[in-house]
Amino acid sequence: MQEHISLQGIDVFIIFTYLIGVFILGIFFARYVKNAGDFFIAGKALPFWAIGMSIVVSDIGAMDFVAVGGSAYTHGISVANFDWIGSMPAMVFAAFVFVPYFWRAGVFTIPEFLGRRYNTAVQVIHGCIWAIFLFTMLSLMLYMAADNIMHTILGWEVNRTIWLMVFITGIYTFLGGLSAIVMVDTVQLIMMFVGGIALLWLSMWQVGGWGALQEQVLAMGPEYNEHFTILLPHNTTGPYPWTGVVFGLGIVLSIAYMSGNQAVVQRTLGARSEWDAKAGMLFGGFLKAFIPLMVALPGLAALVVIPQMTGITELIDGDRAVPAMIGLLLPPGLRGLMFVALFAALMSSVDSNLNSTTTIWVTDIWGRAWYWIKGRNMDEREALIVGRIFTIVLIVSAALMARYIGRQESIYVFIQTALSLFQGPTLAILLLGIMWRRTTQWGGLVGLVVGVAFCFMLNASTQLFPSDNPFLFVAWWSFIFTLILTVIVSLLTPPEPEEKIRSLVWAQVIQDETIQDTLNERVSE
Amino acid sequence: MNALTYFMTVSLSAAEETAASAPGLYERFGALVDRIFMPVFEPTNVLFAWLDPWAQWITAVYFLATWIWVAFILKKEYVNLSCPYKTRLVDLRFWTLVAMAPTLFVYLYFT
Repeated sequence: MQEHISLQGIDVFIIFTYLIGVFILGIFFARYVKNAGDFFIAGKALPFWAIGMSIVVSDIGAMDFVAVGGSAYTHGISVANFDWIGSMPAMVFAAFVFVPYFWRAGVFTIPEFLGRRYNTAVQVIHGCIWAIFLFTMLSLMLYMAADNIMHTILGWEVNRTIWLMVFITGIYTFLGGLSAIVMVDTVQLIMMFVGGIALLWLSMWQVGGWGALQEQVLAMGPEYNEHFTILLPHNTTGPYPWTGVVFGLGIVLSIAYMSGNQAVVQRTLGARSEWDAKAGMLFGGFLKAFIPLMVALPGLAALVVIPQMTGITELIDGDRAVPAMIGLLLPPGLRGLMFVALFAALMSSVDSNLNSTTTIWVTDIWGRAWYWIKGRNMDEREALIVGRIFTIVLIVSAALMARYIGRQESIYVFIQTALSLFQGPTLAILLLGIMWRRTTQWGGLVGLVVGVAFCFMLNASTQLFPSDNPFLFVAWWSFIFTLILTVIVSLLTPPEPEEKIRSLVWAQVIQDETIQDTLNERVSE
Repeated sequence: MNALTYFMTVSLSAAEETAASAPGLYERFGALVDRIFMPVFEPTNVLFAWLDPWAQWITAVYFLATWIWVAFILKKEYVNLSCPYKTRLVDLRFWTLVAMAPTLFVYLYFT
């Protein structure tokens, strides 16, 4: 197979027309940004369809096209669980529990909630962890997409690709804020679907349809018997046994992700009504059900198409499967469209991470520091200026650090591992903090610290679970452990004063009209 | 959840590789954890393995229970609060079912 995919004039024309179009569309929305509310939460004017589309496209990065397709090529369809059971029930839960709660409580970020429920130190620490994580992800996305996709597949120079992305996404995020991001995202999603469906359709055409694909892959040998099984037995040694998928992913990780990810929460807070926020979540979940078809199925089809069209019979590196399919199947024009889809996936993830990191910085870190120093909160104009300055500082810093962070695997591994180990315990104390008024500061603190320690212990084990990479079980059991521990410690310590938890417990926020009036006043201040 | 899939799998595998190359302290700690917790997790593993034949139905029940919670346990007024449209077609109890249907179908088809 050739090393790089060559683009024809028509492909280059499509890609650059798209990039310029997105740039102009983003800038167009700058006219609607008058204050911090417009910048961070789109002036609460977003309709449900834009929220749903934006949530999906923010979540699917350019690397996902390659990595998930590659994983389907190597391990089979079970990788699609992350977009199926890993999305839908969690998004329903987020739509009817967390979204109304955040809406009515007037909370902009999860750290802000933790600050109100526990104390400011918890808010700042949690905010710092998320800000560092999102910033690192921003750098990594830029580097990995520029290096692993644009350079490896097209032969484009890494630095130039990074700065091209930074220039386009940075400018429209700086000027247009969340409105520009969400509206550009809707266009990006359409491009992603067009490119993805083209690849899917041509893949299926080449192998002779779904039935023929199954027949040919299963005939390749016994090691492919589970390539079309989505729920693998509990004792499988792979990372996705059904028990881990249902309990660890479906109940813990996905709910923690959909309810605690700033990029997702922020879009719902920008909705024009609570109904739009809920409907946006549901619509996003519906659209996400189709992502694996475009991402994972071409990876599976590569098992048949690559040997058929190139004569190479041994398995190639999984991450090369989808790029190889693009090069083999797509004609000029469609190839450009497919790269537009990859650009769309990259840019939508970059703009969302950028805006969310800025929101956390301004709300939970800079905003708190400002309050300590000046004794008052920032006004709307000040928050808008600070938000815009941080947008530029963050995207330029991320670009400058991209090569360094991208090459330092240890930084990436450390941050990701630490964050992944926080998910189960964090969800447990978040749920108890919202749902159960008897949860105390000590219960939350002990639950979080000991719960994370428990995660590290389970992660060190090699015998407790059949899976070689039992992160789904670690998430599930650490969640259960933290729930129990937090309840026990809370019952053994004095209850929190009523005035502290008033308007922070879900049932009160949802049902008590007096509290809702108070919250409305607070939000409108 | 694609981004999450990717980084979780990569990070934990890499962490294990790091652990594998480290001196024996981490492995000894892991062996100690195994000895302490095996009596707790062994029965749960047996129970989970025994549930294998019902995996598909347990998954389906999870989806249906989520929908039943929205449709019958939450109040209709709460589910559709502040809806800007005045038609029955915008009832989110119905759309929750529609939104979940493709995913539910997948689990019934692929297993």
